[in-house]
Amino acid sequence: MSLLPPVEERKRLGFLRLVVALFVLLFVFHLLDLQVVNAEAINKISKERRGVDRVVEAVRGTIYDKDMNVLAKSIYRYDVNVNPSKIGPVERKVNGATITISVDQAATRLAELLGMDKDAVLRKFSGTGTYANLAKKVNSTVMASIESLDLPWLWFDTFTSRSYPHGAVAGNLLGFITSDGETKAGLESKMDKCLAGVDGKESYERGADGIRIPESAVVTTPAVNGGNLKLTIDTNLQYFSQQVLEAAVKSENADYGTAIVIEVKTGKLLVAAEAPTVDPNNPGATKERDRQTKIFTESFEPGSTMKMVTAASAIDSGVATPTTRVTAPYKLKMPWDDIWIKDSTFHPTLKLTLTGVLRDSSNTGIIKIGRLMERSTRVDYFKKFGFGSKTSLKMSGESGGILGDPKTWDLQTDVNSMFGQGVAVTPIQMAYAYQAIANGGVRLSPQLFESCTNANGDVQTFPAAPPVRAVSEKAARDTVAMLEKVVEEGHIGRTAGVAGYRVGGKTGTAQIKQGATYGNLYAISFAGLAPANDPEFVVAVMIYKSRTTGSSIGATPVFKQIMQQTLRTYRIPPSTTQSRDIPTEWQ
Amino acid sequence: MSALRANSIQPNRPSLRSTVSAPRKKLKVFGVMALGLAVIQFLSIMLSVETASGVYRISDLKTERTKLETQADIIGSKVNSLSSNQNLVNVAHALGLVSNVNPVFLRLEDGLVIGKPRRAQANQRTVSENLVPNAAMTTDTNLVSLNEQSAEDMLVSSETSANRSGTIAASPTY
Repeated sequence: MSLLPPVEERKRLGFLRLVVALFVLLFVFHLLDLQVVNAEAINKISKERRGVDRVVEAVRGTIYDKDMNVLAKSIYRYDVNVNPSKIGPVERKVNGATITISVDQAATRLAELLGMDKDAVLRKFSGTGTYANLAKKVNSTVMASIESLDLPWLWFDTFTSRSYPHGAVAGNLLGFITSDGETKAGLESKMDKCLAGVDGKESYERGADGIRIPESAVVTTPAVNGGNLKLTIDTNLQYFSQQVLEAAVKSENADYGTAIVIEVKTGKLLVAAEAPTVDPNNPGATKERDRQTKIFTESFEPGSTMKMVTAASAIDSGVATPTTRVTAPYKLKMPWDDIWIKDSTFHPTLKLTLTGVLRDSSNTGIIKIGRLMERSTRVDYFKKFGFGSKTSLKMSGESGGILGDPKTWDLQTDVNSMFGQGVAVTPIQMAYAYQAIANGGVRLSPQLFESCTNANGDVQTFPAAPPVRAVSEKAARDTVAMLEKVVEEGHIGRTAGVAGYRVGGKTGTAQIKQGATYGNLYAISFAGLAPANDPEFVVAVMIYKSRTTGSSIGATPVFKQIMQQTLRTYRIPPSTTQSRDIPTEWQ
Repeated sequence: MSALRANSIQPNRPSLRSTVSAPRKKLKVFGVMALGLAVIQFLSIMLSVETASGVYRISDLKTERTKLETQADIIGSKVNSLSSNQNLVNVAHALGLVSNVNPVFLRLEDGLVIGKPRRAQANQRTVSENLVPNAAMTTDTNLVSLNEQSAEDMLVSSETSANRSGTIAASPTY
């Protein structure tokens, strides 16, 4: 019951209503100001303070070998960060008792796990900032150990990184990715279109302590992961080949070496080995020049392995047969200037068949056969065997070799080309020239990629370039038979023989140009096939700048071991037939 | 107005009756509405609680998934390291194994033995140690414990053989 007169009471009530109405109006105006008039600006400030936009990295695809062994894959790596302004002792309950972990103790443990100096860790802890990076890209083992310390002022940023579980196996072929995510050389670069995904976007909120608020992330654009690439490479055989090659390059004190294994009937590249090699997990440990794919990028004067091409061309063009007779002196004077072409070692004048010329690797003998063909004919055969142009793989930095313009060759280059000097080829070109001979005269294009499977499961295959008939089937058979004699009877060739198998091949000891003249260093090589009765594999080995043996005898053991392992790996039964009986000399 | 009109039409009815019943009806309506709102509010709270607990559950599961992925990554790295060619070659070398490069084949059609069986022998060309680097290896086989283990196995094997009474048990058949 009110003690005031009714008029006074109504006045006061009216005043109160007015005050309340004014307050309500004030709030309404302020609300409108916040929610409508300045909403955008306030949201922007709020987002800037708490919201963070982040790129969601697409996971790069995996690279598999022919048996689905992983050669390269994406993994997670973690940056370890701390908030110095919040660093302090941490309490833990151990067996019911509360213990305190001091900052010094935490720094000691972190230093152990990160392989850092404790003082360096403490230096990162100092200051009043909200962010300091302790370590970059630590692996999952280290991350899990640090995470178990449960330090509230420490957090991780997760990144995808690249791992190569087999290390340097096929390292030169695979290429690598820099710490900035840039693809470098090899298949990582060449097949980036297949392997790379498309990054997405997300935004999340950060608490006052600067640490991400869990479950605050909103994905605005989903990431699309990269595709998986399957190669034709045989990882185990590749490893074996690299082991053998590495040992040989060391014992030859050479600059580098290459070894290639091809499946003859499909053109599939099973091995592309190099030494020195690069471990893509740690490319910095290898000199820059040894991080390339030299099998494709380096061209060299091949020397006598090219005599096989000259001989096959002569048979195919009908100017010679395996039994065509020539007299092969130690040295032969050229009809221009005062130029003498010599064989590698002194010998009396020999009466050799074309097969004998190959067996003894006679320069003078092969010149006599080669000159039975026009230059243009020989050059056409070079091209059919794949020399002078890049392979259909078109690897980054690939060389097509050097044939030059044959029309402008001088007479010396013309003659030299018959025994593999004056022209340059890549290791892959020479290997596929032998594949052509092993495959009945048909050169297949190198097959390195089986398929690329994208994130949706769509499979893309890589059709081979059309095959090229280099020589007739008969000429190829005759050439294989002659190459068998090199391994059966050749002075160095016989060291390439594999017990129980019929093997054919050719040695190469090529002088290397140093400036304008040839020096004392050699590119030594051996290319061959087995089993000769029905060739399944070609192996081509080259060791550049051999400083120990300086002759193809440094390359034949590598060929032998790799061929032996290849035949065993693929369960090729030993040969049960004999080689053709072809005379190598005449009276 | 309505009360006056009612009085003029039905003068015998008590005039207070209708004025008392109207607020009660309103009260009932308000009561029902309030109860309805309370129920809705309660259901809303329950739904919020349930949603919140679901969010926490999802968060827990995501954390667990991350931990399991990390664990799988750690174990996967170990498996890769232990099964790598590099580790296998080192272990084989430590155990004194030499690769036999003389395969022998048995042709099933006619029982012909192809190839010459020969003992594996190391020579200067035999590459035994690993020469191909692998920085991805996070672990390797402990060769010391491996050698101790194989020595123990050999001891147990020879003791077992010595205790036998001259016959070797046939392989079980199933």
